[in-house]
Amino acid sequence: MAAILEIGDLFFRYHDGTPALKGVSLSIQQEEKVAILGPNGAGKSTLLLHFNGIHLPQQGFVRVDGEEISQDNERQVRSKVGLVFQDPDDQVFSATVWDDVAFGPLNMGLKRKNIEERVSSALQAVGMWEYRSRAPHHLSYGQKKRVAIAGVLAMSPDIIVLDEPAAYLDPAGQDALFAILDDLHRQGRTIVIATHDIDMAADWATSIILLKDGQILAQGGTELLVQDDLVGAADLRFPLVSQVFQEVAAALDLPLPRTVDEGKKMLFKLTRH
Amino acid sequence: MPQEHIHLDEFAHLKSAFHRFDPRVKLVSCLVFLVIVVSLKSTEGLIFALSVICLFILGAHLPAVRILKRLGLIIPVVFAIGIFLPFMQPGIPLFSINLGFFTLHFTDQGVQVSILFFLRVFCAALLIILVTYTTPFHILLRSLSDLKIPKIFTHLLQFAFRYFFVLSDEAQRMQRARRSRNFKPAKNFWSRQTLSTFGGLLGILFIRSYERGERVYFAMMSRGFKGEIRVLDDLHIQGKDIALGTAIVLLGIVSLVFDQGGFGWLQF
Repeated sequence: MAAILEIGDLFFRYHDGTPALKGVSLSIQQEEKVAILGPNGAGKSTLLLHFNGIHLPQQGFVRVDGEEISQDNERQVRSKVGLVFQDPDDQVFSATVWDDVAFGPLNMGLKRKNIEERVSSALQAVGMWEYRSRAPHHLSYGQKKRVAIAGVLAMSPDIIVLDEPAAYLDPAGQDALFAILDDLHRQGRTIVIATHDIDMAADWATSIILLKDGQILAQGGTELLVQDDLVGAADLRFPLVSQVFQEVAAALDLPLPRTVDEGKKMLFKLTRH
Repeated sequence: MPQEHIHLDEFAHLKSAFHRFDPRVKLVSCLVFLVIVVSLKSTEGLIFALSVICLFILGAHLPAVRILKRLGLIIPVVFAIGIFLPFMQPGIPLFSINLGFFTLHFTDQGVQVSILFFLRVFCAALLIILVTYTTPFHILLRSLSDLKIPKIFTHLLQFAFRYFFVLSDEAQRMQRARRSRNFKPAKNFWSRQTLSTFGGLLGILFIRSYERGERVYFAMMSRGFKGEIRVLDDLHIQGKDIALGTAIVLLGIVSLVFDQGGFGWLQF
């Protein structure tokens, strides 16, 4: 596996001088499911805006597919890295759903037929094809979110980056969203999400990046989420399942479960004896 | 939950010849008609034009009650102006009001001017209702930019329309949060507390819109925005559009001929 996204020693400071990123380095492998975790104000959203060249590095570098993002290639990068914003109202601006999903492909200068194919397959992938001629302000929050994802899908990016994808979604909406993301992952896409939902990250991600105060605390597998010192330093907590089994696992010297499935298995094991 | 949104395109998806009419030809021909109508100087010409517009509205299957309701919005304004017009024209006084310092004459000529004014306003308003009710808003904007209206205006309108609802929901939520903490506007709007509360609300709303504007722009850039919102062009002008457009312009010219007394031999 090759690193599809690589960031080295990235610094970013806002207009007013507030530093947001202080030397971030990370690398994301192809076809990974990455969760970037951190408390509010850790710099997650700012970091994501560097992934497709909305913010260019003030210092350090961002490489997509081995190519460093600069003013000259930021447009090509944007069709490789699709960014789904937290609030779909920020992203879905067109008069109809169809027009909005076609916005990206049109900017890519594609042929009409190709655009139509992309729009219809993107809308079908998120189950919103029936709503194609609706106005966005007549849709529910979850529906708008799906349209926002379709708008990014239609550009067929290799990497899809989502900022707090599950925020404000009801449980059914969250399930639908993660079903869509898993589908996209099976098709060979790399998915990156920024969140502070630890349970979801433990359950879903294959790789974890912990961010705090504009710096990377750690990068690795979901085992990071049950390391006391790291979790405390990142202002997070253990996944709920891990909290439940924490004492038992320590007493019996068993590995601490992190996902609901692992928890169930452990419960079976414990009750059978 | 957000309250029922204003449905701008409520009647825009009905089926009629006027709905199928190419919006660009519709806009141009109705604009020509509008310019002619507001320049008419006789009751005969205006009544002819008004009946033409009413026929079109009937033909477009628009519900009369809703049209009247929409007209009701402008009636108070029009009436307020119209009521003073008869006093402002010199002529034969029908009656006079003595105000001590000066006398107001309600003149016959003034009444004539007032009637013309009413008819013109109604013609113009009905014509605009006809066009906007039979064309979906985004198609209307697209036609405007096809007609070389600068993009800055059509984009502004498009974003204003899209984010009006988002903003009004936001304002409503803030209002509700205020009420749930027992804020009650004082009877006198100029009371210090009320004024500063509403000032704060407006300020926060402004800052939030500014920040949202920035995020919307970032999201657009993320999808390759290059300063131009491009759309797939699927509007085509056909022969019957030209025919209907020409007919509307011709009807305008006919009302102009009426206006000039060109049909005097018909003996009204």
